[in-house]
Amino acid sequence: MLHRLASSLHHEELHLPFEPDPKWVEENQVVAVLTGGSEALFLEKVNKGEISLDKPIYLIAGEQSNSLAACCEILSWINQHNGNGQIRTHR
Amino acid sequence: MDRLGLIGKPSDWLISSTFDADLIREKLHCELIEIPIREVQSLGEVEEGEKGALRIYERLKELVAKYNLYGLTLRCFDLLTVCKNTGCLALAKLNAEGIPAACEGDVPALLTMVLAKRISGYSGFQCNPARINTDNGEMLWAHCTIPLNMVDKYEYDSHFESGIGISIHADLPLGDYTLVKVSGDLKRIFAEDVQLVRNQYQPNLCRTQVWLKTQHVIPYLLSKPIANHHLLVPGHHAAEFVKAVE
Repeated sequence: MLHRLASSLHHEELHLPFEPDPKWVEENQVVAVLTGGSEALFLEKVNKGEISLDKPIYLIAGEQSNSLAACCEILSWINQHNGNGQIRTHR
Repeated sequence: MDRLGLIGKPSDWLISSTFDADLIREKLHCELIEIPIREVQSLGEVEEGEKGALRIYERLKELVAKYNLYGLTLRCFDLLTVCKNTGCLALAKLNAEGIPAACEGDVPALLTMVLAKRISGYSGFQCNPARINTDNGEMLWAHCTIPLNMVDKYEYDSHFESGIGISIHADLPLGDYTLVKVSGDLKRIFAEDVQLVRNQYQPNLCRTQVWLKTQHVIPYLLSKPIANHHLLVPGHHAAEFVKAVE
């Protein structure tokens, strides 16, 4: 499943940095972190059970709007909580 | 014991940038002093541009004296709505004066700056990873403030996320730097000697933007990063940083 996260801190036009393979998205937890400041939105999804730490979490990072920075903060949190994650910057 | 001011709590998005005050006291000989953000917000709305940004700087200088601080970290985004200006210029000036001063209430970033100051004499450039070129190992790092004693030249711009106030666009000297970060419990450190290969100035990014040539940074960031903010410190000091937290 593909989750899209974007913070109200940012007002730029936002795009996915690449079109992920539909099969990969269907079979995995994929989170497109479109902007900085969306880290707390990730935690909300974990707390609601929409994202599970029991399975790998793939974070898609773009090249603007502090997307990669937010991915690093989120991945660091995943690792601190014994989850398994990875940042992807291209298909 | 060096006193570090936490002016406001860490920003809400710093979800993994936690810290252990006891270990910080024991290993770094630093004491954390909590200071309410209202001590800066009480300025109210300040003037636009440089004049207002300097009023924030002056208030932080007062707090440094009042609490006898060696360094500080500021929950700076909370100034945007109340003061209608930014802490970017204030932090740039404080760092240049030898007072480690971090953005966003980030404590691990401040601890890394304290180490950087002790090792290199510079607080370092607190920056976000922004882009990765996996083909050539180059990475773009950016932020809206930078110690003014690290730059060749600088100019003012607006703050990236808010579009208001003062931020710093600067060009840095090319050459040898260390990219470093310690975790808030001082149990992890990443430090690598890198090369700054060029400066750039593009929209949709924090205003000071530098490209680094790296060896191990990219696989580390994509799998086991120590949170977001890292510090870029002049000179090659990676081995000294690692030794400092052993």
